[in-house]
Amino acid sequence: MSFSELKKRLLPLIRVLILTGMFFFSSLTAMQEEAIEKSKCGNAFDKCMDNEGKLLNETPFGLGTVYCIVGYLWCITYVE
Amino acid sequence: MIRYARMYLCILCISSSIHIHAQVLTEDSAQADLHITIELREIESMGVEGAGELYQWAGVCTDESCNVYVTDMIDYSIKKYSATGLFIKKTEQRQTGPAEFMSLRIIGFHENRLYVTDQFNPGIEVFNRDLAYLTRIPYDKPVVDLEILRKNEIGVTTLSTTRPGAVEIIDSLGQVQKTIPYPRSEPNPLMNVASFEMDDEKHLYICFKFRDEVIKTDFKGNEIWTAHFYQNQKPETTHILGLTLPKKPVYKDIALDRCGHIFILAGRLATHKSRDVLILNKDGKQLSTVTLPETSHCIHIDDRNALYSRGENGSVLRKYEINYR
Repeated sequence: MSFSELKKRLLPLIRVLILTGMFFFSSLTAMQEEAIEKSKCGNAFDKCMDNEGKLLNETPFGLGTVYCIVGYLWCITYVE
Repeated sequence: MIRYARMYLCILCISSSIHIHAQVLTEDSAQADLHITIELREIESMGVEGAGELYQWAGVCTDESCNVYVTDMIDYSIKKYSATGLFIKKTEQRQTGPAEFMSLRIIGFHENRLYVTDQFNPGIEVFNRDLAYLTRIPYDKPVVDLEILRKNEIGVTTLSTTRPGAVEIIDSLGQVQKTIPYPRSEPNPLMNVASFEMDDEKHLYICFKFRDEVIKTDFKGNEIWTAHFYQNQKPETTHILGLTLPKKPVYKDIALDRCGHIFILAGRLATHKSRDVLILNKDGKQLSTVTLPETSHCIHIDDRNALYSRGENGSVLRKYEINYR
């Protein structure tokens, strides 16, 4: 398979992955909204989101997702 | 012949009456054991002001002299107090290098060593009782709870998305030495998140944070009993994209007192949320409930049977004497 053929096949897949990743990230901000205001949870979301709830991590499905989930679990245990 | 028959009947009656009497006594004592009353009396408040002020504490543990060690999320420190609540010292703020802290959480003590987790740094940080940094135990999964059995035997529960729920026993190099699987694991790994305690006979007491289930197992993971204190209600969840997330904890923490009772801090289903502490005997029977004056995210009981919990939303650590009646 030539490089141009490989590119043709991979490009749609990459587009889908980027779109899915963006959608996933915006959903993760909802995770913080489901949790409580940051001040009540200490630094549970520090490595996951900034003060405005924007995600700080650069790659979708990376460690940031795990940080978000761990932060969320800590937050609801601490506050609720 | 009739005389012997009468004698036999007489002996039978006496022996059965002794048996019934003994049985009644046993049931009475069991009933009495099932109706204990426990009262808490506040004896110290730590971190109120001054150098040892607590901003928002996360974890607490005590040593054999009942000195208290607390992790503080806001100034990234570990603070040490005496048994009478006097501030002794703290670690430097947000250290750099191998002991760089981002968000200190769970803390445990065993034989001159403190074991501390950091939400954003995988592994377990190790300090001595003077808060000098010693080393890091590498471990790749986020630790939810830990219990140090020996220097080279650390029990941890984790948030694992790939494996069924289990307590893992790791050594001082972070290698898994033993896996003690939960008798039942939920398909959603978040529902397997649990706090646990281990008694001197190496029995495990596990309370699941987001489902109504408390279990006792042996060291191999064999179930001894399972208890549900809220009719095994379904977990309250929310859906975000493909993730099913729990909304509120059912049980927050578990601790054992020096008399062998199990203390469980109850969450959303309790009458007093995050304040009611269920007290069970070793057979899983509920003996009593005691209500903390303030909400808490965790509880700890020291070697002198004092209970620690949160005050002022995390800016104070309360210490209570446990009185049994």
